[in-house]
Amino acid sequence: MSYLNSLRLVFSGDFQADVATANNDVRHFDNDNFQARFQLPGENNVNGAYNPDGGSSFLLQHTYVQQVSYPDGRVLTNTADDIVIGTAVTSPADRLSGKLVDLDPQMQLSTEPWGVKLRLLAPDGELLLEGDVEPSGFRDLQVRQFQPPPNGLPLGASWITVLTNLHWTDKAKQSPFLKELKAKTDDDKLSLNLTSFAYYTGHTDGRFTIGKIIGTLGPWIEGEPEQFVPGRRLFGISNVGADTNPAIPFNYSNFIVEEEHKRLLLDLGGSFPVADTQGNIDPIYLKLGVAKAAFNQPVSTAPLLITPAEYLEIGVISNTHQPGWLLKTGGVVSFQLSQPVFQLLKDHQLLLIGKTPEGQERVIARESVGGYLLRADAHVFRLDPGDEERSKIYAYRWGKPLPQAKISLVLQPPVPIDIFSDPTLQGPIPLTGTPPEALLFPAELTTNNKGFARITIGGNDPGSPRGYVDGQVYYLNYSLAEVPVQDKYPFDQFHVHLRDEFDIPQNPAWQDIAYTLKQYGNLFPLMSRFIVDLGSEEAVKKRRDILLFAFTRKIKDPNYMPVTRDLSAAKRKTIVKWLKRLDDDSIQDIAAAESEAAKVKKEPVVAAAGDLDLDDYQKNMARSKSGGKLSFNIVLPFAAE
Amino acid sequence: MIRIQTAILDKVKNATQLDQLHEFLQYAIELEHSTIPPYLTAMISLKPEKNREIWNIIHSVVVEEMLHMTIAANILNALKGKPVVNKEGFVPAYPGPLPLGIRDGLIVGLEAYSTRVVKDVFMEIEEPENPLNFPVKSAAADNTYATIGLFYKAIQEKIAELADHHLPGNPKYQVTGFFDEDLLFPIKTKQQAIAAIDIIVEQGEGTETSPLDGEDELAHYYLFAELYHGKRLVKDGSSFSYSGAPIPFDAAAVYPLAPNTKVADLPAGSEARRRAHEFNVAYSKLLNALHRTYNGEPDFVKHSIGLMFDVKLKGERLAEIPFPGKAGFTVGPPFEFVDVTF
Repeated sequence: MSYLNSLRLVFSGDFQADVATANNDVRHFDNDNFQARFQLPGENNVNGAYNPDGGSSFLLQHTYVQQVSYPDGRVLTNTADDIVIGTAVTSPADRLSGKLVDLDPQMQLSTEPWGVKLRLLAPDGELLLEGDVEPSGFRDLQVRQFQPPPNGLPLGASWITVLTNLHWTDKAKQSPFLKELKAKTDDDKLSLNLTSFAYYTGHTDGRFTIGKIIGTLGPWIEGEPEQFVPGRRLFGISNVGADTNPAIPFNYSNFIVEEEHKRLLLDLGGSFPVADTQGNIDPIYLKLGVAKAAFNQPVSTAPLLITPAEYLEIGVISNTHQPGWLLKTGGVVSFQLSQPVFQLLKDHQLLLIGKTPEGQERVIARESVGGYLLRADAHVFRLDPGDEERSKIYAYRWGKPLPQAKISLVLQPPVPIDIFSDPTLQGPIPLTGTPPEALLFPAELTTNNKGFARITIGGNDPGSPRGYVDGQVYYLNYSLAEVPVQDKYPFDQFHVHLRDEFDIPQNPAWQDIAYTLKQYGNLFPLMSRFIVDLGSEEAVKKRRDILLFAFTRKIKDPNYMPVTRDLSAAKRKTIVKWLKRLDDDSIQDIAAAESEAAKVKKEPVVAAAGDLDLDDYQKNMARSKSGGKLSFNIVLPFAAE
Repeated sequence: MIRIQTAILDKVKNATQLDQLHEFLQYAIELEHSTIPPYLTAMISLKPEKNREIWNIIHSVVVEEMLHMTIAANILNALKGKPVVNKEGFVPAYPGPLPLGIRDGLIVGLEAYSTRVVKDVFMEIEEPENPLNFPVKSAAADNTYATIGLFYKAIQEKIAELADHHLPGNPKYQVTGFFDEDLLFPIKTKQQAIAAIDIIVEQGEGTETSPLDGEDELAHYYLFAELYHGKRLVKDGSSFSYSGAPIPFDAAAVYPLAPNTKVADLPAGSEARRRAHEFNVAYSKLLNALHRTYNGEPDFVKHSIGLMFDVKLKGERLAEIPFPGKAGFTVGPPFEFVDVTF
């Protein structure tokens, strides 16, 4: 079970993601070639992209509980029915908000919230429930707006994670829903889905760096994944763009079948195309069916027609054009299943069916071929040489755990990931994924009787392959032989930042930390302009106490400087050691020549002709996410009735 | 100078029980805090990397005001009172009189830095009872008001008179750290409370014979006088004079903040208004964090540190935004206490 459950709570409103963007182009990490213009805002990733002065805050604003649903089918929307309805979902009133942090300049597609706390507050200000959002990289990045969006970014994505360290107050006992949720969930955790869309990268509508967010909260059950829905998936196969520039509505949606209730729950909250920045939806005819025979067509620009004889109908998805439908319902649709449908759906694909403008039925999305789902739980790692990280990969078929599934793991070959970079800037892009042998992982795994396989990922010193930027970033693919490549979110991978080996000097000198601090100052102009010029030894010394404070926080502390998560433990400790030494006047800085960092800077490994690259779809998604714009201007070719 | 109603001083003097001092220590917290928004506004108006010497001087005063606010809270806790720093009305409405001030006294607003503001507001706020030797202005003889120094002295005398050696508050509520131990120390005894009040008065006013405080640093009034005269105050024979190194001021490197910006003055739906509100949220969260810090969770101070930087950053980003409909002005930090829930 997960947030996608008959027992669930939906909240929605605004979120702010004040992400810093001067670090979007990996070449900006090269201190020797840094230019002042990289700190200036620019469109389409030029210069410091849309928000170089970002402070990385991530928080909810004006976000309220909209409704709660029960296993018996009741949906309550009035505070009179349950005090939890209408409560505000907020950040803490007395500490910094959390931060939104990329793994690496060459992997900005599994961005995680850190230090985020959510609180449900009754209108009188009294707390009902509080918990910590466990960091989790977003997935299922997909197009939500097919017309040039006034906000700038046409994409949305979802974070599925758990809320931990739960604090249920006495007041929560007044909410029948919360009582039932507390009784049903396991182990001091709740399953949480946060879905974002209509994010403003431009200074319009007063909403710069603001977007819409839908949250869904449900029980978490022991033994199940924390960062995705243990269930089934619908994949969009109707490409309304071009082959080389795909635009796929309803691209990724999760669904489950609750056997005890004979109920289908489909989450369209992260995939439904929206008509405006408030999430309103244009009239569209949609229905659900179960394919009688395998429906395995790949993504197509031509309509994939279907006749009523080829499927069993589940029902029409209605009311979606009502104002505010998405924000009120969270986009989850629910259907009671007739016995024949229930039986057929046990091992046949779910179909999302629309109509062409001419009235012919066409398949918009279908369940994965064979009903397979393979997904890793925790998938974003920061790794120092010699350390290990653990996760689990789960396999399902038709929503049931799949034992003895053979999973192969293959490193994405070295590619120059330039998708986040300034198109006007010359200069080579470092290769990612090299040297491949530095990342340690099993080539093959088999799921156990419970349908999952444990994985340990480790690493050796990558040897500074990118020169000016620490360590290396690896994209590690995992797959089942049975699943066609398109039936997978293309960034369903492990993303690992493996740091360079670094020996903490006995007596660190300024030269040992200067390059790193200067880099931070360059990439976070907010820090260098307003707090401390990190390129200046004198300035850093003056702000010793506050820097020491910041560099010694725990990684989940909102006071932790977001950028510090880029640092290996050894480099962080070196900075701390240097700052602490400032106390001791008897120690003189050692000569630069003796210091570790005075070694000649290595040149990055760059691509040679003929090297592989990401596919167009991956590139489009990534470019658009980082401020570039997809060139869509598409009236969806689906009938309204 | 801030002219305090003599009636308040009389009430302090008439106290017969320690808990009758709670109200006045709460006023002291409010008063110490109330000087911070005007000073921070001036700092925020100084463009990044410009006018840093001026910025540093005001910053040193702000840090001490924060220290004084915390000392006052520690004393109140030591007397078993409950500091409140996050209620409606804790933040004065600017422009207006500071807490405890007499009605026809000094009016303090939130304005960009200028030598006029330094002289007419900052030096007035910090003016000692008897400015030493090199008066910029002498106070007219008037017995209808008292000074901050006298107010603190009255509290100090009352504690000396009424308290036992061990003060009644919970010692675990004392806030320490982030300042030298001889400036911010746990207040558990009568002597510690008396010493702590001396620190507040000396840092603000200097000693009665020198512009320097007990740490041999200039008292606030003289620091601001340095800014006004544009020169450092240095020893000059047996006395001092404003004849030291010049303190450069680049008037062009100051954001033209709209004085006393309020969120309500900004157009609904504008980015400027939203950001001004976000400033208020950060500032109000800071007061909420300090409230917890002062009320039994001294370790919570770590959360206030990050928020202080957040207030600063949000204020500085705000200062760059042109004030919609007010040509020639940018948006000032509103410093309004708001419900941070939404």
